[in-house]
Amino acid sequence: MNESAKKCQVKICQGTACFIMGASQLQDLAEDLPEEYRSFFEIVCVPCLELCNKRQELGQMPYVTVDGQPYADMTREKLLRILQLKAECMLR
Amino acid sequence: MNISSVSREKPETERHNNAQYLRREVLIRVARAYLQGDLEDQVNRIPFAMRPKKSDAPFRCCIYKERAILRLRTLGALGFPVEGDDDFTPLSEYANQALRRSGPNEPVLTVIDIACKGCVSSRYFVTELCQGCLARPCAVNCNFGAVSLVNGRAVIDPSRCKNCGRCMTLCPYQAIVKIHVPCEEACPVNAIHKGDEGHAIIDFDKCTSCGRCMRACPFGAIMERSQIIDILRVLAASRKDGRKVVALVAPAIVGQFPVPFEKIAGALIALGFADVVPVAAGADLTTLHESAEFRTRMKSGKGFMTTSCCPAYVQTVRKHIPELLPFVSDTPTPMHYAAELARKKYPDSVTVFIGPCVAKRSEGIHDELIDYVMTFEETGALFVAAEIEPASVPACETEYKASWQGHGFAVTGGVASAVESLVRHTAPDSEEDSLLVTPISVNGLSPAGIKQLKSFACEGCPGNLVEVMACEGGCIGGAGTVGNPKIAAREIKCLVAKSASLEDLTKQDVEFSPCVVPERIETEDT
Repeated sequence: MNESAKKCQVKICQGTACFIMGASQLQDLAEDLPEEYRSFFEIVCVPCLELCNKRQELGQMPYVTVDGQPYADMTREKLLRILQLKAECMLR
Repeated sequence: MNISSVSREKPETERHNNAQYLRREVLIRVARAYLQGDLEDQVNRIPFAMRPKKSDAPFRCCIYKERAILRLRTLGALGFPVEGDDDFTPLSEYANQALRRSGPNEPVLTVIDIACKGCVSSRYFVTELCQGCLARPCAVNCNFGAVSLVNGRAVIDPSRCKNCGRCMTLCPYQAIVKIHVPCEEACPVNAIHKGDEGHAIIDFDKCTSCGRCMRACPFGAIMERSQIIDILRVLAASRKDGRKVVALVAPAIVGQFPVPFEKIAGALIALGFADVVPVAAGADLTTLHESAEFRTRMKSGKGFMTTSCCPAYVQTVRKHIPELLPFVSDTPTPMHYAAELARKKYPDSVTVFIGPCVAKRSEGIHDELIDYVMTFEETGALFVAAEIEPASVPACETEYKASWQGHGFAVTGGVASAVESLVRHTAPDSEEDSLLVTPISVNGLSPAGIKQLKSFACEGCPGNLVEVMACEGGCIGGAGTVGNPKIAAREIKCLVAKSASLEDLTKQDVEFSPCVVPERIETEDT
């Protein structure tokens, strides 16, 4: 990937509610990202994103944002898949 | 030397599934109902709030069954045993009793029989792979006449089947499978079994309260009797009458929440606790006393000694391996010593142990220094219900300095290392050889491991210090944890590496010091 291209910002909500409802399993997700596109992403665990307020429209916790786009009901596998698709997009 | 008693359940599925989330959601709702000031009224509505009119029944046959089960889950969250329920008493009445009771009692676990799927009483099942073959070795070789062929398919008669498994091994198409019963397979002491109607029943004479069945049940049918209402009540009362409530936080806290310990302490203060005592400091005292005890026992030719800080293990010995009892250390547990520290500083305080452990509830009930016990999971639920984010509260610095030995109690091998280090440290030179510590670590209890422990008592032990952890990985793998065990293990390792040693701390004569209490954040009051 081009050095000057911006990294994709991934924020994993680690507020207590998200944490006990599954976000604890996302804490070390970066380690499972394949080498080929690990550098495309900047993955940060952040305190409460307050997306739970929008539960009706978004779906249930835990929440993750990818370049600001919120995703609900996240699991490790789902997030890895999303990032894989995103990486493929960025390569094109 | 390590003995890995490998448990049969898969840790990943245990930790991360709908049963856990459902349990936590009920705890949060019950705590929230209390904090909003009308527990009795709100609690009746919980099953309906979770499954409103016209909503889907995501898990069971219908919304009414779901609500009935949620009513019983709420019962467990209020601290009552489901076995005593009459199907009829409204939750508000139970809530009323909860608000007035004097304290918790045994048993610690309870089974929601209607949530239990009730597996078939025969453990072997003929699948569609059966070809109805001519040879039919299954039927011909069954010693109990339990297998017959009906409409071209083998059928097992549960009333005759003795679960020997022969038919499974003989089938040329591998069409017969063994049905797993997760709770039975998880229990190391055979304390849970399916009754006549196929529902799980806990035999409390055998149960050691380890909580493995609770984590293993795919239907979330087993619950702990929670003390969150009692704890919220004393916290509220302390604001009015000034009677302090002190939190004793287990060494396994490290890595449980995604914030440093000082923030968790701060969040507990925000919840209403007056002070936070790290039980790792209690573990230091246990280490000092246990190493001295070890020395004494070895001198008098006792052969070997086992640790005693794991309450599920101690119960296992009392109920299932009585021959091992003389070898179990008499040193009080870290929780007990931490409670002593708390009571020394605050003589009339209420002590609440917060840890990864279900069995600690049982120890707490029998130890008058401990008033209440809650798990990390329940603590997380309280933070959510009270809208306290540990990341945003002011940190509370505790001036306790626990050593690496104390912090290490949370992981397998930690207790043995701690005791060994002190035995070595205090060995007068002339006695050094005879007091070589040969530790054995039992990493998780299982029926095979229990047999092994029995053989130590009866036939001798290859080592002289046996550390037993009922949970695989140690306390960080406890049934009341919420964090990611991989991260927890890593963080503890980190903490152990940078902490002072107990030998150095005792030289400095470090004493019990109060936690620096920041401005208390006002939370909802009753």
